[in-house]
Amino acid sequence: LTTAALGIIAYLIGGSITLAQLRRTGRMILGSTLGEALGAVLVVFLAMLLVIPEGLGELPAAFLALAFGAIAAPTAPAATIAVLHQYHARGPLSSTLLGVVALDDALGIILFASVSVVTTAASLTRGIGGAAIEVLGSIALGLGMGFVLSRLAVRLHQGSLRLPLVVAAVLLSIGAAQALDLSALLAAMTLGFSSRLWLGAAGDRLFAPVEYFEELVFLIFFTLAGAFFDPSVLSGHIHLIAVYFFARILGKVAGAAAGARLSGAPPSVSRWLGLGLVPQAGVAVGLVLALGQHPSFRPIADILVNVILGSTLLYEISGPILVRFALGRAGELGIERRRSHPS
Amino acid sequence: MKVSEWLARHDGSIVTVHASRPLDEVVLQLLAEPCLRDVYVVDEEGRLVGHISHKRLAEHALAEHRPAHTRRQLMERVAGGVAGDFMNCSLASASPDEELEDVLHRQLEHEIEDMPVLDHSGVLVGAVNLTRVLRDLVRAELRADASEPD
Repeated sequence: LTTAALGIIAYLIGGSITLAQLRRTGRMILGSTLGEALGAVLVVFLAMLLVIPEGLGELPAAFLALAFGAIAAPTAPAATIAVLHQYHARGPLSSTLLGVVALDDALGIILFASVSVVTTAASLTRGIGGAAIEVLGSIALGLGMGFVLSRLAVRLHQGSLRLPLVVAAVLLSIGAAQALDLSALLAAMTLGFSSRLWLGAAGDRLFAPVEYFEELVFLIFFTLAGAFFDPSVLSGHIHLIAVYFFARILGKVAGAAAGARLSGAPPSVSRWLGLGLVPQAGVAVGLVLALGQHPSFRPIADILVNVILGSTLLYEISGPILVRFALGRAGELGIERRRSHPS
Repeated sequence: MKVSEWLARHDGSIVTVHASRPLDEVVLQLLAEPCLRDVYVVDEEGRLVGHISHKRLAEHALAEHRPAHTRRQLMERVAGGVAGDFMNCSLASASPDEELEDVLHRQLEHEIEDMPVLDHSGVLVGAVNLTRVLRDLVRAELRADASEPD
């Protein structure tokens, strides 16, 4: 259920971006996204490496730290958009923030899938060549399935049949990926991206019916994660939650600053962008649930899920406050604009 | 009645744009024609290549005023685009030689308010508006009822 639900989210994330949009988005947003996502992965990995003891689960501590790092990249766009809307924020930071939150879930899934390939036992036995085959094979599977889906969509005239067609394509891609020892997430995301690529402007029709599912899928994630919730595990690993929480914020702030500066962003963007990217919720919970299903991580699934659940709670409380703080410091809150430029 | 006759009797004006036109300009062009709702995308020869509904345009124009977006809407808000990126390429059309009744049936079947009318070479020559057809029919029926002796 988790893999199927995450597959639908990955399909929607893949289909939300087109090549033309990527070209138009500009260097500043692309550079900032790359910086903040990689920054979060790197800092969380290093910080967790310092605090995760050897012997926690069957895998080396470095692999567990890398797994936490891979979950650190995605943000929750809904909280950021809601704050921007509530305060009528406008300006370079606001528009860069929107661009970055639109892209970083896709980058987060790519990073997570790549790290999963490295940290799973199957790939360890197959080496670097096997890992490359797993990544490239997943992309090839998604491209092929996307082509088939787009051809079928062209021939399908009844709107009511689009939803079952898309769900069937996602489930088939996930099933084929699992049967072939490929990444189901990467295959589903490539399916979304390629079906929109093959269909051009008409590709929208393959996403509108599924978009209503997104909230339901997040509901499933939180319900499943709730089943793992254990106050004793949470309190026993409070140090991991604290380290993950602060390391991710530090990684986002430092990575976004570096990425934005290198891509020529103004100081108001490079200084405050990272604080606007703190919210994290549904996608991270889905990713940790998927990770917990893997045989190598299953013995410590409750620790992984409780750490991410605890940090999600903190991010969802502090995230919107930090977004507002960053916008205020950059002078982009609507109220402040009206004060400084009275009509 | 043939579609061509209906078009000759009514103002079948439509808003057309080229696929390369930025969407913000398309919105302004449509707003300049308060009676029209949808935009048709045509190629250099005037052949119909796509359609953008007023709902889709409103979604784009009002994105800033909405508190939540789907991922697709968010990316569209960030990256903007041209008419060709937003148009629906697969759409039903009518021919000037068709009977209006047949076109109406198709309009209701596909839930289309304005049915584009294409000549034999695919050039857009007008649109059959469902509300106008309905108004004509209702008026004709009322006149017929009034002329009948009690």
